Amino acid sequence: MRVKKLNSAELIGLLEELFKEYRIIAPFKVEQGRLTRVLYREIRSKTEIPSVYLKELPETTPKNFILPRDERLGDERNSDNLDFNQDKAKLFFGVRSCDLAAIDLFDDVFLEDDYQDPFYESRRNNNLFIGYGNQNLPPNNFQKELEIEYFDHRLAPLYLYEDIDARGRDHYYLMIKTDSDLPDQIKEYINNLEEGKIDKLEKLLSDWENKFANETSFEIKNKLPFPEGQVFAEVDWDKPTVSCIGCGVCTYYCPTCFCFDFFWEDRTKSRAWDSCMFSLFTEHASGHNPREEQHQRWRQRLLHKFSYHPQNFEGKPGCVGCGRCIYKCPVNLDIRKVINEVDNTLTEGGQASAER
Amino acid sequence: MNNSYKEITEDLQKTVELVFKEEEFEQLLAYSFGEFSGLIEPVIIKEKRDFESKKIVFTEDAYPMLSKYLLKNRDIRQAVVAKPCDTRAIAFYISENIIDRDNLIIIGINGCPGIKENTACDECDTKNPVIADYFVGEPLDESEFAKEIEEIEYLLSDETAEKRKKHYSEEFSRCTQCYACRDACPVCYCDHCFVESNQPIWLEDGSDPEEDMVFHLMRTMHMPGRCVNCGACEMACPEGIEMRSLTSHLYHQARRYFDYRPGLKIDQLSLFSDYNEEDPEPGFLQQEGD
Repeated sequence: MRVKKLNSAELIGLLEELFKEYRIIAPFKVEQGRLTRVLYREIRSKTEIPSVYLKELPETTPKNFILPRDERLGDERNSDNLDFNQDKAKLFFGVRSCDLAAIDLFDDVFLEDDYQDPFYESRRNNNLFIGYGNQNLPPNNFQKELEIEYFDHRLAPLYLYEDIDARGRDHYYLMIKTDSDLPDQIKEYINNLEEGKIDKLEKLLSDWENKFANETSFEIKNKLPFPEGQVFAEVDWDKPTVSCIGCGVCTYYCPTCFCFDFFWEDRTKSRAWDSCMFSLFTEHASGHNPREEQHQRWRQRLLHKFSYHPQNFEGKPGCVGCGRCIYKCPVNLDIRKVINEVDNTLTEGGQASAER
Repeated sequence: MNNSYKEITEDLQKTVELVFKEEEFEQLLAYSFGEFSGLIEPVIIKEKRDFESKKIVFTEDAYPMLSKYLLKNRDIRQAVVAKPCDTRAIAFYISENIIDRDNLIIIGINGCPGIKENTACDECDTKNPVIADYFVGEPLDESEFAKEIEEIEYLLSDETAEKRKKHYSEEFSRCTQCYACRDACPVCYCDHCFVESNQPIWLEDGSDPEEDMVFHLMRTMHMPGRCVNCGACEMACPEGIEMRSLTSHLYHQARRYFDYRPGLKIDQLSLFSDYNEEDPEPGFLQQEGD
């Protein structure tokens, strides 16, 4: 592991080098309608590189590029339709550890031994991730409660840290865990950067972590997976979810929600995101709906993330704690409030599993 | 002068305490800060023991329409904190006979200072409640907010059809079909919305610019004579789509041609039941100035 120090011009230089070799997807700040938003976009030309905006957590995630909202899967009679413009490898730049953890989770689901999704795989192939962190905890973030590190993830061989208050070559640190997959001229560019001290960076990161610890009071008291049967039956689901208006925004912006729906356009099969928060998600052809009420849909969403998913994937939660569902929700319904209700019900029932 | 959020909050906390003392009801709809997020959220208080008046607040971010939540439980007696636009939605419910006046305890906000970033508040013509049992804040004199129809300006109000089409095509290209605009709208309350209808299918699966346009225009078509111009649709949109000027235009046109504004009185006829022979017939696709 090595550490390099960069100033803003050197970071732009690095991105310019990378742009020659990769299709770069990076966060930008854009004006859309009445909102100013940070979104991942593909860099189309070198001139856009200085506008890459890293400081805030983007609203969207790499999910939009790996499992797109709407995807043509090809002709019914010809399944070799996997042409996704792969002439260059894709580089996702400036990705937080929670979003990297979400991609890890997608890999578990879509590249599992028994069920490999060729469409997912073809977009996921040839991806490179450069991680990112700074001293500001994104709003409503609770990833630490889900045991996701703030400043590292195994999917990212390179990790960029921005010390927003510092100037010059103390502004950015680049941690290089391995550069073996990088093209030579990029290795060379990195080698020519000023050497940084690993212990100094580690000190900085631990200071930031300590600061974050004071900024969040939320804690998950019971062990995951939550006991499915008991939680399903005993929690008063209506109480914490009563303000839900059923729009599904939480699931659309969620980096880990992957449910989709198939449909046909002539002979072309397509899939598009679906959401368990919609009534149509479970409505039968007969008109019967096993999840008639919104609180039952919430029960499904919460149990999927904190009970079914960890059951199926070695205890790993189906949520990465990024906080997007909370601030994108039109009525600010907080998933932590619902988790808390589950926790309290389990604790009151006297059957709480071992304290974490 | 508008009341300040702080004054309203203080008055509201006292009034809600009074309501708990004097009234019989099954639940109270109000705003509070989220325990972990600190963001304002609608709360529904069912038990007196869960109630702490200090937690009830009103801020510039109180954009969700509490009136909408009344419809979930039409048969029980409910108390509700209502912005003036909420009271208009409530008056509209009563005029449509979908909720019983006797089942409502309305705590109306006088002299509403408006909601941050909500462009509807710039066109607001109702800053005091039209119907309420309790009032908080000082009422505003009507002369301070009543607007002549000629004074009202809104996005694209003077633009050509081409420019409007371009604007909406661009805006709707971001639509993710979450239908939060519909879900947040206080006067969208059909038991079965065309969006979810599969016999016939009005909207195809998948994202498609034409389908997005169909959805937004169909939603708009259902709105004249119903829209109370509260701006909840636009505030709810996660993509920040500026769609409010469609319904707002119809709101102002209904006023211009028929002197009609929904939800001003509880015994009001609906726009389409209120026909008389003298009504102008501006025509479906008439352009301004024709």
